[in-house]
Amino acid sequence: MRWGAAICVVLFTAWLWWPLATGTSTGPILFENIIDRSGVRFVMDSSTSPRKHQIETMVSGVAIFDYNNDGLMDLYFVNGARLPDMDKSDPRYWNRLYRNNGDGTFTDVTGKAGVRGAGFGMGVAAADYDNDGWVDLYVTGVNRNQLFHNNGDGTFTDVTEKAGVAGVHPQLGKTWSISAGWFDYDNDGRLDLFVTNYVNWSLDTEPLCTGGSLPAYCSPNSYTGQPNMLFHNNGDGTFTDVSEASGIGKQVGKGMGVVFADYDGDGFTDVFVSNDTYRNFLFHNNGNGTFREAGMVSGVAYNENGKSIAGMGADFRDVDNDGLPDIFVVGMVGDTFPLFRNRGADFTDVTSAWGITGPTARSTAWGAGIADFDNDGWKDLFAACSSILDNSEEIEHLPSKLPNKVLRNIGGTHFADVSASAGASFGVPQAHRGLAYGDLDNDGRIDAVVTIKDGRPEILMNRSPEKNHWLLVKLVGARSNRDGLGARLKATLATGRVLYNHATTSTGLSAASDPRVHFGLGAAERVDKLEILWPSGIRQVLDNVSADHILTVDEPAK
Amino acid sequence: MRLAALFVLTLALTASGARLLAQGASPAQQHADQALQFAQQGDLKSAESELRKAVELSPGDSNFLTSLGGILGMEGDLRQANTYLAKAVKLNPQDPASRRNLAANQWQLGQLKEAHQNLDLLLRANPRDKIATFLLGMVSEKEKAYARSAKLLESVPDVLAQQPDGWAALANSYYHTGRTENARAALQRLLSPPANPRTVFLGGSIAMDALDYSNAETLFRSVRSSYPDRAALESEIALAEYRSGHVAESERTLLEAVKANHATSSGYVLLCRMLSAEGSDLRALRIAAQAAQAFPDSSDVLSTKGSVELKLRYFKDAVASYQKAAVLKDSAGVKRGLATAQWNAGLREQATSTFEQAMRQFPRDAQTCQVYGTLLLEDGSPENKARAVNLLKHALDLDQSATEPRYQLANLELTDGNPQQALAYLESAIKLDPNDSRLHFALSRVYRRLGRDSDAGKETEIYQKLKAAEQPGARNDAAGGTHP
Repeated sequence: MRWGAAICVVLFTAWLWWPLATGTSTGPILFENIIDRSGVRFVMDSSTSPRKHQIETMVSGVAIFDYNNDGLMDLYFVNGARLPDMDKSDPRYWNRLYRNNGDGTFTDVTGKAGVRGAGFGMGVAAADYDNDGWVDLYVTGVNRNQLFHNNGDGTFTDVTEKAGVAGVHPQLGKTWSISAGWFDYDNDGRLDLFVTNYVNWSLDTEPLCTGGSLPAYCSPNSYTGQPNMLFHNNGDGTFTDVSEASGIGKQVGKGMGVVFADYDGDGFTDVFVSNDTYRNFLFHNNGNGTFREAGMVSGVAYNENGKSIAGMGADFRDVDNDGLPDIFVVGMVGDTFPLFRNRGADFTDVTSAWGITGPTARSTAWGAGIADFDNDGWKDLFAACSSILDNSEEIEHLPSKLPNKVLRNIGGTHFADVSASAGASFGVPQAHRGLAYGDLDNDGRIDAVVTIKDGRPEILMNRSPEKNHWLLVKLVGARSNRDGLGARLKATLATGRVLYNHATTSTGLSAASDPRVHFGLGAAERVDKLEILWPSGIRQVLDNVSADHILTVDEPAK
Repeated sequence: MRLAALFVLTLALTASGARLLAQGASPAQQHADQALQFAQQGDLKSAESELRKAVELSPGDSNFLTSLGGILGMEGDLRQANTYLAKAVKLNPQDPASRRNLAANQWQLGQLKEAHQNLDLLLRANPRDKIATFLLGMVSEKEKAYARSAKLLESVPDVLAQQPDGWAALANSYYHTGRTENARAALQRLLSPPANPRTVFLGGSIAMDALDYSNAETLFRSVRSSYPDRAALESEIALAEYRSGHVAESERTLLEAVKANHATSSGYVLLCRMLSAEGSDLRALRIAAQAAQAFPDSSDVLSTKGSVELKLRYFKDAVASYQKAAVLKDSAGVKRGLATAQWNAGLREQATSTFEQAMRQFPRDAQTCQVYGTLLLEDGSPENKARAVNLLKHALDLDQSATEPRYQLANLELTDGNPQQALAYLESAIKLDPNDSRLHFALSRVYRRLGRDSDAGKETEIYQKLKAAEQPGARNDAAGGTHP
């Protein structure tokens, strides 16, 4: 089912006059970093060494999720480990879970929750894989991947072995996993697990790389790539590795971010994987348990100059409100951060045409996000920026630390770099890494959390003027997976304007974002019609939904 | 070419000297005798002084004037020599020695027309005058009358045998008349027996000009231990190696020259370009910095440094280098480099001003329009896009063989939903440069948009093949923007 095509012509005309006619505010996108008063004491530790072990620079992600079902989004930070033994017993290396107290502060509950983790961590995926109503965590890493089952009492149990998701490849052994994501690829109502794997690396065999005469983190060209993994959820707490059978494992790249959306509207969720200095993968879901890699055919494999970029984080959402999810990928200096506009059957690279090349061509980013930060109904872009090398000043004459970037979406056809006015923290260069976004204070404005290599994260509360309206939709699946991941939502406003979004927690790089589906409504005080297409195929319509609240929607029986 | 003249002039001096000895011992003659002895001992200054005294005492004696002109010519003072030789010819127009020496001198001074007239007179008087024939061959070579030059020179093999400069001139004439093998054979004569290193170097340069790089390389190498200007020689060897496809050897030659302080500015520039082309940008920059220290007044060196810095994204450094280069030599390339560096360094207003200035100053420079147009596309604004399109189209008007404007315009058309127009640009671009992977990538996208999936597949295949050839192998490079 394709919603966008039939109405996109109308919309194209509509957006030209809509903002003025409805009085949508176009005030600044503004964030405030509240880390100092948040109670979050987490300091990432990558065990940075003069030897420049490759894994040091690849740390690490963050999840925004509600682990205790109190309606407040909590935070989970992934951490490195001591090197060379990748031991995590020292608390400085623990992953950390912070409970959201609802007053702008967070409490560290790692110890009680039992989620300090093991090994050198990379990323995290959050979702309720067993449909028991409690969000679970899957943590990726260099030498260990872990599945933490949420017991519903504030504690988690490591069920990795029982579940069969340790990330051990039959031939390669434990792969270096970067990101993971939950999605229901066969629409059986149970969330399956996708894991991206990076390169064949070990402490014992890694080469010594140099920039000039200085030790430096290696280019990915120094390593061979690894295949990604797909685990099918058996519904009994176990998973089956279907990487080979599904076709996913047949493609060998250097996997970084993984994001999901049904790009061609065939009712099955597809997968985009950004690869580091290798062409991106777009796994088209054939609907029969197999996938076809369609990156090249669809026009998302390379940037507009046919270059394999150093693909890092990505996001997969509809930026031009035509009902077709688009892809935003971030890379490194010289790559640009490509935006691939979905045309239904394939994608067009609109990076230059939509004004993204200028602000991004000379930057490097890790985390990426597509979200409507100013609630004007147009989703904006966020990039968590930093160089790859921590000594790039000496090697490349480039700053190793960079400020983040936020690009405002202007009418779905152009983006403007508004970073300079986005708050003080956007003027502070840091070694930014993972990015997750969500509404931490339930005020309808999308906040962001950005991790910093060997530093404290930024908790960026959205302080944009509250003139525009919004809607947050919390889905509760029944026949579909309980989180409703993969559900596609269409909001029609009184003006005739139509907005689209879908449910996913997989965003950026090594990160998990707020599962609730967000709509910025501009001046509209209600949604005339909210249509939800559940992964089960059930289509649900809600009329006259008032704005500015969190709407919980249960999946109907049919 | 000076050696030929010396030969001729020496002959003249000897001949006139012999006559002088036979004429008895006037005071003027005594000075002339003394001069001959000095000249034979190699003491040209004293010889000159004695001859000046002889001329002073007997200003109407054409022999003394010819001898003084000869000595001055040997000393390199061709202009003064010309004055005395011309006087001698005027006093005694029938004396072939004076006229021959005057013609030789005129040839060296580049007074080809005058030399030609004098040699014609000589040959009319004596068609078997081998020296005059030889000199006319040399003059004709300079006049680019290569067929005549070859004919004249090859007719006097015995003079050529004593005068190796002639082989070089003959080789040049052969190259220009399409007789490459003859040219190579002529140059071979410079090696066995070994000619003067300067002549061999000249032969190498002639081979270089004729794109006969391997022969040039052989000639240059043969005088490696004897040629006095080591820097120029090493630079030429490296260039010959590079152009004959021996890139690694060329790089080695230049690195060794740099190490031994034997590099010329053009050698440095070539080395930087080679290192940069192979992706060794940081090494290129180190060499460029060294070159800039050694040749602070070379615009080429500074703009090369700027280009390496630009590639490395050291934008502010690149701005500084190009600014210095622009002060030394204001060329379209330097202006374009400066504007690009300024743009990338975030100095948009300055960059715009530099681009606009460059376009006014060098209105026929297609590349400036193309680079400016491409950069203007970065921000995606409608105004800049319109200007960019105009610039790219203008670039294409200026240079119909350019592929980059076609590529950029095709991408714009594709984004604007005009695949047919994009197709036209790309097809013509690929005809011009079938090995540019980006063009095939873009064409595959266009074909796909047009529903020509099979063609798209073929283009994708070509793209991937070309791309694979471009990919560096596994190397232990640093991550980030550079691959040292």
